[in-house]
Amino acid sequence: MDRLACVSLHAFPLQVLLLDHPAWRGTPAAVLEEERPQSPILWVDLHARRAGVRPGMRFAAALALAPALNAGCVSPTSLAQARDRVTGRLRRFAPDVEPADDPGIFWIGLTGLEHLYASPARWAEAVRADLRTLGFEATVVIGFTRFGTYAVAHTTRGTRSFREPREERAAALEVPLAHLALAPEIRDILVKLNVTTVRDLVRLPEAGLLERFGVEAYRLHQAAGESHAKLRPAAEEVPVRAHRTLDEPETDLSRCLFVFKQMLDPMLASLAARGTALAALEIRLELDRYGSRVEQVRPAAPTLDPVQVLELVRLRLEDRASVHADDAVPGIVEIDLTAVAVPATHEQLRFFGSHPHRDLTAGNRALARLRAEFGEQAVVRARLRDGHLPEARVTWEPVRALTPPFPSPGRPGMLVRRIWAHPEPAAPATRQHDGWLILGTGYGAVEDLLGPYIVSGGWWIREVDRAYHFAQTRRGDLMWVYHDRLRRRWFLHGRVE
Amino acid sequence: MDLASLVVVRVPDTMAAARSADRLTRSGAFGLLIVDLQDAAALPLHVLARLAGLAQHHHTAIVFVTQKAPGAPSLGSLIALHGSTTRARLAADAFVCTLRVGKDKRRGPWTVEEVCRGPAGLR
Repeated sequence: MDRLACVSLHAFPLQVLLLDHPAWRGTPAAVLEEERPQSPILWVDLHARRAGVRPGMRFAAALALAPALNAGCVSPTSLAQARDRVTGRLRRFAPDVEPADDPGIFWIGLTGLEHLYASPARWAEAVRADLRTLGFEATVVIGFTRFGTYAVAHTTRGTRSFREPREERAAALEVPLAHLALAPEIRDILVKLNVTTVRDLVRLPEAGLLERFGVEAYRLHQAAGESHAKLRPAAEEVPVRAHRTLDEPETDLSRCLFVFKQMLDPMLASLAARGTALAALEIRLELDRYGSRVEQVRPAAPTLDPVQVLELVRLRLEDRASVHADDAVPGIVEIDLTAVAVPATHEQLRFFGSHPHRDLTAGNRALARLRAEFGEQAVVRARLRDGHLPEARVTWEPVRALTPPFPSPGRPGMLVRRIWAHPEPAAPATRQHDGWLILGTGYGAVEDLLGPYIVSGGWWIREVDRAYHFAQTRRGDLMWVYHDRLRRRWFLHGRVE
Repeated sequence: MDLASLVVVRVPDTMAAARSADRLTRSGAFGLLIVDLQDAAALPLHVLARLAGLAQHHHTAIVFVTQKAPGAPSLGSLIALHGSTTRARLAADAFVCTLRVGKDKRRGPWTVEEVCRGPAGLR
């Protein structure tokens, strides 16, 4: 089994806050949800804890206990930037780095590293030492599963390495739930039920856990039960850059701006393709006989508009030229541009030139060609209508012209029952439905039959009497079947997808 | 979903489906095309190459839906994102639906899970 490591930066938001305010180290410090007196405290350092401040307290109440308490918010952007910084740093030690949703947790694949380091413990120490130079204090646990290393990292300081998966599993099962990311209200109820450790949790049935405690507890249970899951390493974001070497030293501002425009347009297109916008443009100019000069222009808001950026570049270059007003302006021989990107808004991307206008007329022409080739009934749309039988509630009507969509807010998380236009005869049922191979041997026997739901009527034309059921096969397929009481046969009429 | 704007094109075979996808993508009017290949999961490389070029040019996502055994390869190397779905029943009215993407040319592998309810009658 491949080995992996979990790097845990305990109280990550607090560590980020203290990096932003180095003077707060050694004093009581706390991370707030919002910067107001009634804001709850999210994280506290050791000094604040000694003064009696606890997470969950109001900031105003905490100030009464620790008047010297320093507190601040950590924005999601700051956290994301810090996470990216750590991810980049960890990539120096191994290529496969997966940042977890839980801030401050990173998994690293260790496959192939055994020849580079004397032992896993040496590797772990090197990682810790390197992160310390960034200002972060980390715990490194080397093991075999994501959850196992993650759980143990919450109860360990420093480094720890497991030789066998069994050893890791045993340690993970003893981790108290209080150390894991679980909502306090769920944790409190579980404690009342004497469920205090991971071992207690995995003994509970996951279906019941989902019904009674929700998705969060279910996911923890599921993660705890994983035997081995592959890493999902984050793709490395290569910065958007452009470089141009000029044939002759360029002193004319207008010509320089044309070069900048030629470089900037493809850069903005690359940013838009990544769903990002330009927050700042770093410019490195190599000057003839004057060495290099580094500049940065920053638009008022992240943008994909080249006109805005070029305007700022022009002002910056004019300013540079004015410095040399008395002397000859040094010519530019090389230009390096690097984009600082942030996620773009939907509007920014929508108005960026690369997104085409959808021409419904062209779409209608394409559909007309398909109708000519495959027949009038080939291009249809579904229309709901009133009907007694399930197959009569939907009709297909030819599409003459495309219409713009007006979707209504859908119901989240609902499976679809696909109804077949023509019911198909199913294999005859066995007595008590025991071992009934409704779909053949590949799907397994029917294990659960839910119903009946009776549909009857139509005596005035052709009498119908159907008993609908949901039939679950051993493989997990959910078929929608009915027993035609008049014909005394079973039919397949759809499936749940 | 607005059913009135969801156009369904019914054609006899896989190649006809690919030809229809070609025509529709070429028009530039559609942002998303779903081609249901069912279990006939094979398309010649030149067809895939043409569709990939058209999709890129017109900013259209073409999704091929196939039925395959777990671990089976995708239609070809030109497929930008290849994933498989599974569904497991957790409780009477709770299903966990998982999309596992093993190949994503932009991001690398990823997985997403959603807990869903069943249709009416399955509760």
